[in-house]
Amino acid sequence: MRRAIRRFLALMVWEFEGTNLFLLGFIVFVVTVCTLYPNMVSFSSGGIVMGEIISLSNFQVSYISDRYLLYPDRTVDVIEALVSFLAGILFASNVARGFENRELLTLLTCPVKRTYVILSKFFLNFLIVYFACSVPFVLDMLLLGISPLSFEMYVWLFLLSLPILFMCSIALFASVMLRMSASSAIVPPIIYLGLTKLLLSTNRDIYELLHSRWDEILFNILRNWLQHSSTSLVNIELLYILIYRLLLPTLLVVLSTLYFQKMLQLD
Amino acid sequence: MWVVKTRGLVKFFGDVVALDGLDLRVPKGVCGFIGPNGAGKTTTIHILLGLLKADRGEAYVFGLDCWENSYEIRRRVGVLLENPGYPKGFTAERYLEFIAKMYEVNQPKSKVKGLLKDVDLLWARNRKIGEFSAGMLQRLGLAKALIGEPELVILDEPTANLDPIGRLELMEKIRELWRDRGINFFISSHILPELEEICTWASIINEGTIVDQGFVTELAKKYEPYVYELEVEGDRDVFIKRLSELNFVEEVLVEGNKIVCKVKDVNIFCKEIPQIVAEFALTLRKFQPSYGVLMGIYRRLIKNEKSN
Repeated sequence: MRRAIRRFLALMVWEFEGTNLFLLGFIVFVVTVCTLYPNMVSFSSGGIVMGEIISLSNFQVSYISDRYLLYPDRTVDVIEALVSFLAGILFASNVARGFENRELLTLLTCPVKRTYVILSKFFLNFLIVYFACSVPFVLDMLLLGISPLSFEMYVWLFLLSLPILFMCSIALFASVMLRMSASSAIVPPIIYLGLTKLLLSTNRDIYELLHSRWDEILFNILRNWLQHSSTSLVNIELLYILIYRLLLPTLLVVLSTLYFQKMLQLD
Repeated sequence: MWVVKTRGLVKFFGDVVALDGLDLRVPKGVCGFIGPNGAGKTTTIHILLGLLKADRGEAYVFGLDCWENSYEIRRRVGVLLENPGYPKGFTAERYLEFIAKMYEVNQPKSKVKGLLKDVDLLWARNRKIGEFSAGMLQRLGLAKALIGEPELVILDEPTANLDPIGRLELMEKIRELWRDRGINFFISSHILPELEEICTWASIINEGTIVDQGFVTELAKKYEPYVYELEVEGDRDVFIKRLSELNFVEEVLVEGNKIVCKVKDVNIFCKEIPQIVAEFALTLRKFQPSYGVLMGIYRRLIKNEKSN
């Protein structure tokens, strides 16, 4: 087990060393912009928001009513679209490009498990995107006066990871299936936008639940759970949220990994 | 007995049949895998490494199924692919250290340095791989193939991009590794004279099937039995003139000290030659069938295949 972890970590370090510096520069740029303009643009978990601040259980969170920056029909969560684009570029550069320039093929002639290869790429890219989003988020929180030791901070950081997990899982799936860097970079935002559009046209309530209210609901559930509240929290809304935010990305990662491990043929 | 064995291997790429019932056998030693472009050599190698899955048939390396046990196989096999991809931003030393880690090599740093010295890349160890020439990349690939102290090394066109000295050194290294450390080699190459120098076994592939395979000496006897090499001391010119007059000798060629005879009837030739040598009071230094023949066998087999 220890050996397996060591090998997995060695692969992750290797992947990190090979990460495109241009992409890292882009991420740093995003972080800097978001940090320099905390009052103009701030992050909630998975949403770029503008506007007033409201109080929620002794915890200041950004107001969500005016979160759509670019799209007049208010159908798209801008930050999720941006994150999906960033994830798309990262996975296209790390995974799909590896197929194109035969680096993956050459690596897989060595004694390295396919599962480790694909999961190390996934976790590294996930961490990069998460880092890019969480740094300005944390800074924003600090500027708003939230204590870095408060549990709310960590709950929100956890919630922030869910949409990123969602985007990264889509990007991984696209890269493994398409194996072409250009299309792998473009497809994740398209899939994401398509999904949200589909959701919106099918059922607006569920769309609102999964894209606007999910973080508040999960936050309250986690807070109550951490405070050992006896209130029963399991309901149909939670089920929808868990399926969309946790089960679907997990399924995509599992499918990508199984495909890469069991079915993918390299030539 | 077999290091590599396949049975009825079939592989399609869309409508194209890449392998069509391939029955490959590779014993211990240095083995050549010969065939024209598009014959299925690289596809076979990829199947052996578990990179591709055969549509039908079985493939085993060290008795292990190539798709199911590819990880175990790759632990015991070193590989140089035909067009390998390397991370261009890494130095040769860092890259090989990482590969050594994957093979769980003891003291990877010293191992890497030793190998870089062996392939004459020590001077470029801190250079980025992206700056390497084609020949340097080939040497790096060789170092990668040898780093895990493998039992079998699969080389796909190993001398491509190497200069003549590099080629000679590689051949010598292969010979040395087999002789001193018992490392088996399976080499796919177009450069037959080089293979002939080091290979004890050859498998000849065309259009996805094995045309023939066996020990090179046996193949030579089978396909080129009518060419003999002679070396004599004494009045060579008279002897050569006499040979060319014989009706069971088709052609006489002189290559340095060697006299090469293309023979019509081997039995009469073998019976008569010692008598002619004695007749001219010569000393017979060498009298043997010619085994400089991989090209001859290859030509004959592939030509027959095409005409069929």
